[in-house]
Amino acid sequence: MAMCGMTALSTIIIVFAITALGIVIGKFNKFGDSDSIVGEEEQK
Amino acid sequence: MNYVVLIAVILYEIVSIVGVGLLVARKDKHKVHQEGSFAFAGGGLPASLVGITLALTLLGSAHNWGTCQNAASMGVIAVWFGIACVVMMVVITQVTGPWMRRTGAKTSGEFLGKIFGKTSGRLISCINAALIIGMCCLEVETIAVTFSSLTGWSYTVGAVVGGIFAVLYVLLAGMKEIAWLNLINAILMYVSLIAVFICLCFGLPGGWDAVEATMKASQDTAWMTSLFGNSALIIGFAIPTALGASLFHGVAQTGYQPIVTAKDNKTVKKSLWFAGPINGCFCIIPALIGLAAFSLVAYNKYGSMMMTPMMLVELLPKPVLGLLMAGFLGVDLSSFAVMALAPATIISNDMYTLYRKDATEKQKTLISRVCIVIIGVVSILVCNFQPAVVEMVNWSFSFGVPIFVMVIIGLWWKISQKASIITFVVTWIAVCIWSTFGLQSYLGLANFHVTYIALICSLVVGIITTAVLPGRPGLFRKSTSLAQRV
Repeated sequence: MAMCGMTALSTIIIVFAITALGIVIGKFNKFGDSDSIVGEEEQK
Repeated sequence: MNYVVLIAVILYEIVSIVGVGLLVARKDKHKVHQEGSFAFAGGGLPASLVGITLALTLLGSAHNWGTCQNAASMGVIAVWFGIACVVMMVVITQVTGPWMRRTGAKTSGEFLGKIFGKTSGRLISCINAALIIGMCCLEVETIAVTFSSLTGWSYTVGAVVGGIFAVLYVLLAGMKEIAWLNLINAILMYVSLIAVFICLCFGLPGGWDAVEATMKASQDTAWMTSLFGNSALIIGFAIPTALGASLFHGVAQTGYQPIVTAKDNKTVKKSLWFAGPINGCFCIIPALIGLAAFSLVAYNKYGSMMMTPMMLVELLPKPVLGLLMAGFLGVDLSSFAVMALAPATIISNDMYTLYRKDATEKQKTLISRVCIVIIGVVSILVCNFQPAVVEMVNWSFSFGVPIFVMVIIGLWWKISQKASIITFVVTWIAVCIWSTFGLQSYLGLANFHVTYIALICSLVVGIITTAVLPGRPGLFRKSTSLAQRV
């Protein structure tokens, strides 16, 4: 059971760490926050 | 043959498809019919549904039976496939998905056409469609494993029956229905896996401790009990999987299809909280049960693909077996559905409209459905000849690497159609020479994954050709310059 516990715990920690890091990366992607279409901006 | 379990599983699938279909139809009855409902769910889905759909779209044969199969050769390290997929979810939801939506593209083909021009965009769509059809074959392979283990039928018969079932699943439902079915199957799948794990605590001879003791008894297998037990596999399997999955699905229709159904880009980004953990944690129990099957000598005779299902059929109580098979089948069916929809949508939206510019939504839907039937037939015919599931998936991903690299270059630096085509062709040839035609084995570099070759080739050729050949400013470079001037 130790093998199962360690595998599960390690995986969950790594998964949530990558997810949280991903959200932080997303915050830096300000360009991706907007919904306006890029081509339409240039026409205005 | 497990008649009771088989009937229960099939009944569950039929009831869930018909039930959800009726509910969605009733809900939409009073709404104005929206263009693109079949393929695009009409847009406007919340973060939870987008995230779960994305998680399950990209969660299929490689995660369930494929990971069980992988565990026979790498133990719990097989879990890294799921962890690698979280990186992929980050790329899709935080980076490329929002960028693709900002171009207004409804499909990845349309998006790639905006960067590379229509001809190159369609070329890439053709390659992607072919690779995704290959992945549909993998889904039918694992659907066949489910039917074969429940019925005792030969693998080929299981593939035929499973393939027909998969095609009907797609034809009866559109994207919106599949989104709701994914939610139901997600819950069923996780409940069933937890139930399986608990049952095996009592069902395995000696329990999980005996599995661990058996594996640790020999130096040849002791490393298989730790997530970090073999650094060569982290370098040769885990990292390439993260790279390949991210770069392939980052700009492919399979990753974009659920993203395009979101309400807005903020919803896309929030969907990572659902997509990452749901997809990433999935492989824990399949890897453990695959390792358990490997540790029991009696099941080794069935080979790496069938040893786990045969162990489960013998050790699990029928209700739990039924739950697991229904959940796995639901997952593989929904993955097949969305993967089959991806090339079908590319063909109906991007290619059919070349022939019929004024094609109506009804005509495009009909073309999609015909394509899905053809894909089903091809998948049934080919699935008998596949290599190991995860190995094949990672090889397919390497073809997406040059596309991703040139997309980033085309968005933020310079668009050069010639540079893109040269980079694609050179990299794809390099991938084939490295893996398919045996250069990797000849050089004795078994751990240097083909994804690394694809990345090195793409970056070197892509950067040099873009710098040297003429082109126009990157798509977003123009936009950010304009924003700064304003």
